[in-house]
Order: sequence, then C-alpha cells, then structure tokens
Amino acid sequence: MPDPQQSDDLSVDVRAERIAYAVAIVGLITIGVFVRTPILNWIVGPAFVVTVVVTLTPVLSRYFAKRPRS
Amino acid sequence: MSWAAHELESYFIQKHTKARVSYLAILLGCLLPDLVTKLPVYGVHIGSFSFKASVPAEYHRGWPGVGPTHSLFFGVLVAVLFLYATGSRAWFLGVLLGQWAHVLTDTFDSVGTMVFFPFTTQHYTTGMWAYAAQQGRYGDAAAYYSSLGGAWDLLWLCLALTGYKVFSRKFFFTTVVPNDPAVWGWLKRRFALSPTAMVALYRSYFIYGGARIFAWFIWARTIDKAPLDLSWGGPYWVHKYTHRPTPVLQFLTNTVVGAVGFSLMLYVGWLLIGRRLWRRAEARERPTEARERPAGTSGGAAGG
Repeated sequence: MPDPQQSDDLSVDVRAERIAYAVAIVGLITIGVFVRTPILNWIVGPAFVVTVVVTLTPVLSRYFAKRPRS
Repeated sequence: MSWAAHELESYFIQKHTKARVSYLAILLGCLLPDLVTKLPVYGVHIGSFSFKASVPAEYHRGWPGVGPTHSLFFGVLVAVLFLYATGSRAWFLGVLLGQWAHVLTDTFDSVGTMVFFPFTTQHYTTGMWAYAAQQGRYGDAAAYYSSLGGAWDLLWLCLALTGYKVFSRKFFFTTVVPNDPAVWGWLKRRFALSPTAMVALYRSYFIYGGARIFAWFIWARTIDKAPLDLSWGGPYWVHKYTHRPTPVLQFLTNTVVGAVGFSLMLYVGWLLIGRRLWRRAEARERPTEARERPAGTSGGAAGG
C-alpha cells in the first residue's frame, strides 16, 4: 500500500517544481522583452532557467510542507 | 535564418530517433553551424576592436565565407571527428542528425544553404521569409518575428510539444541519461548536480527556445512596432537578401552533381574510414553496455 506521507511529499515537490518552471518561463519572457539579447542568448537563457528552477524548487517545497493543510 | 527552431528541433529528433542517440550531441549539432559563425554576421565589438562581415549573407551562407558550415558534408566531417575522438556512436549520430536538421531548416529563408557543398555551391531555398541579418541583430529579430519565420518557430514549438513525454523526468532518467551516461555522469559529479538540476538542464533549451519566440514577438509588436506581414517571403518592409534564381537546367545539373558527389563521398568515406571507426566504437561500447545495463534498468546513471 502506498505511504500517504510519501505521496504527500511527492505532490508537494511536483507542485513546487511546476511553479518554479512557470516562474522561469514568465521571467524569461518578461525580462527578455526589455533586456533582449543579454538574456535571450543560448548561454544566459538556459542558465537563467536552471538557476530559477534549482533555487526556487526547494524554497517552495519547504514553504508548502510547512503550510498547514486545509 | 531560423531562430528558436534550432533549439526546439533537438527534442523532436530525440523523440523520433529509434537508435541510441545522445541528446547533448543532437543539441550541439543543431547549434553548431551558427555557434561561432554568427558573431561576425551581426558584428563583434570588443573595446576598440570591431569585426563585421561586409556582406553578412555571403559570409554566413556563401563561399568564400563560412557557408560550408551549413552543408551536409560539414555534419559528416564533424560527426566522424567525434566518432574518432570519443568512440561513441550515440554522439556520432546525434551530431550528424542535429547538424543536418539545422542545414535543412535554414533552407526556408530567402538565402538558403549550400546543401551539397563542396560538390556544388548551389543554394537551396524556399524563400519562406526574408534573410535580414544585414539589418543587425535587432533589425533581423524584428523582420523574423514579423514574418512567417515566427510562424515557423511556432510550428517547431508545437512539434516538440506533440512529443511531450520527452520532457518527463522518467524519460530523462530511463532514456536520455542511459544513452549518454559518461557525459551526464561527469556533469553530475563535476557540478554536484541534483536530479532536479539535471532535469532542469535537459529541459532548459526547450523553455529558452519557447520563451524567446514570445519575448521577441512581443518586443517586435509593442516596442519596435514592426508591421506584421505573414505573406510568403515577407516582411515587405525589410530589404531582403536573396540570390538571382538559377536557370532550371543548371539547377537540375547542380543538384544531380551535388547529390551523386555527396553519395559517392559517403560510400567511399564509409569504406575507407567510417566502417573501421564504427566497428571500433561498437567493440568499445559492448563491455560498457553490459556493465551499464543493470544501472540503466533501475533508473540510469544519475538516479531518479
């Protein structure tokens, strides 16, 4: 039988990761419109995505884990 | 030239290639023709030093110039060098498919590519959108994202999304990593990458490719205020670079010479060099594959 605590942890991680990717996409488009080439290039663009996802996912995971469930 | 299509086509190739192929090699192949050749097209300015091609289209796609980087022959040459240096068939195939995809994708602008160089310098083009690199980086961006070029990028985004499973964590750890365990393993160890970081690195060129379509399109519409023109060969407002059309008979002769020459070169190259390198790589990979199989079936070298 699946462990409910483990599946809760998994869904928290998945949710955190999805939000981090959404932030990376919106951030890249928004900053890209104004900054253009300095961010929309083949080195900085992908590096921006990795940085946002890697830093934001654990922060959001901790936040969702701490938040009391309704 | 195509913009985001080159990043997005790497995922499409990864999805539809049945043979063992390295994703990183496909990506490198897709970026390779423009990797170093593009800087002088728009101009390089470092302090007082500046370098810009006098006729960007001729420099970028022509001969003399760096046009041969946009030929099928160049893809074979670089892929064979990779096969010799790494002994990896997955890298050979990846670089070859990626570079060839780039060459064929770029035939859609008004300048096109010398597909069969060095056997012929004939340019192959459908003239779907205007080649406008001579307008500078931002002029080119405005023209590209005001024409069918933007629609072409959007098509590649949709094609990549049709194979959405390639973006899953499961696909990454069961297919992408086991296809190229040495490089992903090295990246993991060298940069202490977590599984989240490795997956993010793999997905990053898709997100970058997709995001740049929307960012440049919004910039062209709202800030640059470039008129949208979705007619064939547009936009109408840019001075597009193009070659004089080749007479039909000469075009057919060039194509036959190019196709036959290229096929013969492939055959002779296979007999003289390719066959030996391929067998050497096969023999080298066999014990490695046997060692990796148990790890591959339990989630790959990097772990899930």
